Amino acid sequence: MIALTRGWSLPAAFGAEIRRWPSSLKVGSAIIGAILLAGIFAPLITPYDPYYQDFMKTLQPPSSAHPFGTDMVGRDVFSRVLYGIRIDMQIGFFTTYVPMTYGVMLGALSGYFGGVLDATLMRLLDIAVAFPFLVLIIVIISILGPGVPSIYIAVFLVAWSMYARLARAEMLIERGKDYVLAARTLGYGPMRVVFRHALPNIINSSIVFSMSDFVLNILLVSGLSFLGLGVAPPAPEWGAMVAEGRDFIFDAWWISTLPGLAIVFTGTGLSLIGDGLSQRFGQPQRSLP
Amino acid sequence: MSVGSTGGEPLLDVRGLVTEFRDGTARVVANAGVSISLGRGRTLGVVGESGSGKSVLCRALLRLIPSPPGHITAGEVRYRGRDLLTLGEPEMRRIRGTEIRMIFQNPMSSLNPVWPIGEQITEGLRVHFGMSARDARARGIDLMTRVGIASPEKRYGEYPHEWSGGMLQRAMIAMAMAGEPRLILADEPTTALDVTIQDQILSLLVELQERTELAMILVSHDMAVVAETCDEVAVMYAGRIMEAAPTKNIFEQTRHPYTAGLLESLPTVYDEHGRLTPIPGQPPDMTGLGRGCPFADRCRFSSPDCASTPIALREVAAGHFSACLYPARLDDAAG
Amino acid sequence: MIFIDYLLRRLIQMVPVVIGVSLVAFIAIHVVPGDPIEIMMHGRAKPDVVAAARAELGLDRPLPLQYLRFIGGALIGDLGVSIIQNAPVADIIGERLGPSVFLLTYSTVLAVIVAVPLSLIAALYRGRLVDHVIRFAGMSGFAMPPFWVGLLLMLLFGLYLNWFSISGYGKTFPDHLRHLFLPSVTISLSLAPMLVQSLRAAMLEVLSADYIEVARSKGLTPRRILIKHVLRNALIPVITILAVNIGWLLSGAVIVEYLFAFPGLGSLLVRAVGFRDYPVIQGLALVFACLVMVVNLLADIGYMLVDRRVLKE
Repeated sequence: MIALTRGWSLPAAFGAEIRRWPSSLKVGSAIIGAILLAGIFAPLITPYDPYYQDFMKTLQPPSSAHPFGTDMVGRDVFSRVLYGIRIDMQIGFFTTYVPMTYGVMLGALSGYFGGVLDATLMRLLDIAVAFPFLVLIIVIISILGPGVPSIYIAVFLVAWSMYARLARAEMLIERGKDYVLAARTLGYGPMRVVFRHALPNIINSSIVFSMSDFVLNILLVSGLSFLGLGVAPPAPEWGAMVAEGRDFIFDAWWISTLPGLAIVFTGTGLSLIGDGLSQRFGQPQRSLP
Repeated sequence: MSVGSTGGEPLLDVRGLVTEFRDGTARVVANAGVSISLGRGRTLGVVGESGSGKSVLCRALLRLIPSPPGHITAGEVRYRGRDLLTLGEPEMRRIRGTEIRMIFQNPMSSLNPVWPIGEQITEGLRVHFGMSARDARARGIDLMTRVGIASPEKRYGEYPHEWSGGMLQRAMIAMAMAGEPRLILADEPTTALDVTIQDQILSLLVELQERTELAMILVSHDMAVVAETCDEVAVMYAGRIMEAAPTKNIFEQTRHPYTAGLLESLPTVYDEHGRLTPIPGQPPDMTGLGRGCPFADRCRFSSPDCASTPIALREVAAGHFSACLYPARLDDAAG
Repeated sequence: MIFIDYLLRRLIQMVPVVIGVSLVAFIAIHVVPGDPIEIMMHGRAKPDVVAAARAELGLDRPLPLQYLRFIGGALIGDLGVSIIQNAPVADIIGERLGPSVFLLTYSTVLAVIVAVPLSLIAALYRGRLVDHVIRFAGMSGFAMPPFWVGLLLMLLFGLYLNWFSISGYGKTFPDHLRHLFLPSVTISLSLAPMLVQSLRAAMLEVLSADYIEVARSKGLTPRRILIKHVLRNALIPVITILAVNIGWLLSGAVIVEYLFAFPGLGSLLVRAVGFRDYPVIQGLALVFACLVMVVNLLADIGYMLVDRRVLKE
């Protein structure tokens, strides 16, 4: 099976495995590893409280005391970016992997059994695809009200569709293969065949996709926060920080630019991991089914 | 050594062709010093299993080997006296379009799906001969008739997905004949077709050849196909020619254990019992070939020195060449 | 005739999806906890006023009837009345539809102009440095939030170089092109990386096809092969990939319109959500879905012109 790609936490026994990784996977894992460490150990890295407002020190450019400068109410931007790692990575993680679990299951079951279940699912997927993702989320949030719980609910309602499609497409190929037929002839129940035999083989494309999805979800959260529909100030979420700095863009570029850079950096690391994984799994980069 | 020449200057004379593929550290020698020659109007059959290098050979002759992994590293390909390997690319393109044409294995995927068939047949005429659209179309219809496609005017504008495999292969042949070529390289032209259609296509090729003094190299893994249509046969294994001779001699006086093995493994009507006799062992790993005969480990006539002595084609009878060190052992065994 | 046949078939296939989408939009809005009337009146109105307003908006009828009224209205162009602006939703949306479509088209054109050559180069020089550079740039570009890119462009062009205006729409066509340049570039920069990745894979597939080898064996020049054979066949996946990414294009447009204070559907959506203007939100949901359908239909037309095989399906 697949080892989770967190470079710093693998025991030395997996050293040989890591050496075989494509370079993009190594670099991406290193970046994400560093980011996660920075987020976890933020209090040790920076002495400032991300919420502390010092009106004596507003709008200060980057300096040795404040590597990223201060914002319009005197908060240290660097600490806010660091603490923001916790928020964005956490939301990104759950909005990606929770829908992935039931999305893959639904798709696998649907692809395996076919019939009415499959036809219904395909119709649902058609409808889900018909909507631009952000628009759909915004509409749902308009009902539920802004805030993080709404984001979770909205994404959980919608985001499974891509995984379902991927898993279904793979399952359609996989179910004709010999080992599946063998398992069935041996009398294994369909659930067992699907989950214990077929699933490990069809999950690869979903895992590769989950990296892109992670990036997209971070962009989603930060985008919603930028619009004022997501994480509310004064929480140090990167998108919200960019929004806060918007009015000061010409005078104090660092308030908006640097959190955005954090998004780019994180996203690039995740994309690199995704690219490396797809090479590692030996699959060509697939366009959407 | 060369084979298959008639009196006079051969049309095609290949000497010592070496084609290599390199991917990182792995290196495969797909053609390890191949020499063949072909006279005007003659047909040479090249037989071998997958991986023997026969398809690579065709592409190497036309310099169609994709060049990052593949390179032609040695040898000469003399066509009408000139070495094709030294020609500039524009001149090579002209030859590809007019004098030496290739027919490919899978007709279903060899034609561009979004172009009408007729236009593909005549594309070469427009590009290399500057024909107008109208003239090209007339010529295209004529070609289609010659290869046996019914109602060519109607079918000229149709698309590949509307035709069957056999008809598509006829279209490919029409396309190949468009520039009045002198040499056709046919890479497994019938392998992807039904048996009944195979026969038709082969007859078509032979007929076209007879009418225009066309030379042909016919590559196949099927000895029966080659037996019917070729004047001479060359048997390839692991990138080398193992035996080459006029067709009748190859079949009746085999002078190489590999060829003998191939012939024995063919099912015939005369076999009493159901068992087939395959050649024991596996095809060789092309990245790790030793100095000697690549067939040595599967050969029942081999001696210890076979695996270490480099092989070369030698004339063992009139016009009959073999790379085996001990061809006489076949006679002893046959009895 | 075959063409019309094909298009009709595609249109009919879309009908259930449009119905499904309208249902979802309708149900979602009407499941709102909390009463839109109350919200609108800030909870300060007297009960009989509230009841009257509710009756006027038809909110006291049973849900299925409301849905039918919604659909019926939508078919004749009546999408209800905005709670906030007190104007017909259809009018509000109508005056912003043009600018948004312009913006979307402009962005798509820019994205294609950037993505197609880059993906082709990456495919032709696969594995070499150029390919790696392009793919890496794609990965970073993918991670760049449109609002951030937009802000940076505003900074660059607003403060340092005064070439393009940073807001508004303008009056004449050339004016539009100037005003919309920055927002369109922003959207296309977020769209292009996705296009490049998919297109590169598609180009690689086309380049390795048998008929391309056959074309080379005919002695055609690389240029001719590229233009007449490779690109022609690559158009099919280009159309597919564009159509598939329409959702992303629209999403990016929402954020960018808001950022650049552009009078389009996206900024309307954000405003409507802020004010809980549900008729507008509902109407917009339907309009967005229809936009996606239209794009898919355009894609079908595109396929039809490029590849005869689709007519058989």
